Amino acid sequence: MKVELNIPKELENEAKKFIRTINLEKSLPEIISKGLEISFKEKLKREIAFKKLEKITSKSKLTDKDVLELGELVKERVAKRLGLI
Amino acid sequence: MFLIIDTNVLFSLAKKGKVRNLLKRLWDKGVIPITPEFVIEEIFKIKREFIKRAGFTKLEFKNFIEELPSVVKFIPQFEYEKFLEEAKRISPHIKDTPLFALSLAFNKAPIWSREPRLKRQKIIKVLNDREIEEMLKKL
Repeated sequence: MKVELNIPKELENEAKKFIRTINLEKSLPEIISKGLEISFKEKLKREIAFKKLEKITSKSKLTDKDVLELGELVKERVAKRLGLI
Repeated sequence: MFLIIDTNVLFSLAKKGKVRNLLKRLWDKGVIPITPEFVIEEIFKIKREFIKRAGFTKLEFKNFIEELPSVVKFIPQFEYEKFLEEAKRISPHIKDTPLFALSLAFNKAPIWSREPRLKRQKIIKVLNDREIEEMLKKL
């Protein structure tokens, strides 16, 4: 069986190391089935989350100015927490 | 492909408009939106201000926060901290440093921001809402 994987460039080294540690022929069906299950569950969870967000924010009073100001406030707090300010 | 999400874009998810739809379309095209983990904790700390401006109830705020990790991945500090020094040199404002560090940690992933200041550098690509729409057409 020939399997081709598209690995993001930034994960290439990690993926190579990981592949060396497993018996691919034995584990592949299980990996694929688990991967599909996780991917499907995540996608479903995300779809539900987007729907919920739409409902929650339908009456939101936030303006473009608010999101910029709140964003600045949080970014300043994060920078302080990381010792940058 | 990874895309760094600025905090102002995260807050835009709590607002009517196109950002939620753009984010959904990015996921559909295989783009993974990420942001520093500390952001969610700090949003909690400005809960009162956020609730006041958005007109949310406490429950709506809680629900909003709970759904965020399903639509944006929160990345722990250890994944980008070694890039903070380099990011300090690139970042137009010290407040934006964690975003630039995260970008460097993810192979110079582009940043989605609604704050024009972030574009005042040439190392990392910074995209506004309109440019995200254009990027989506090409994916």
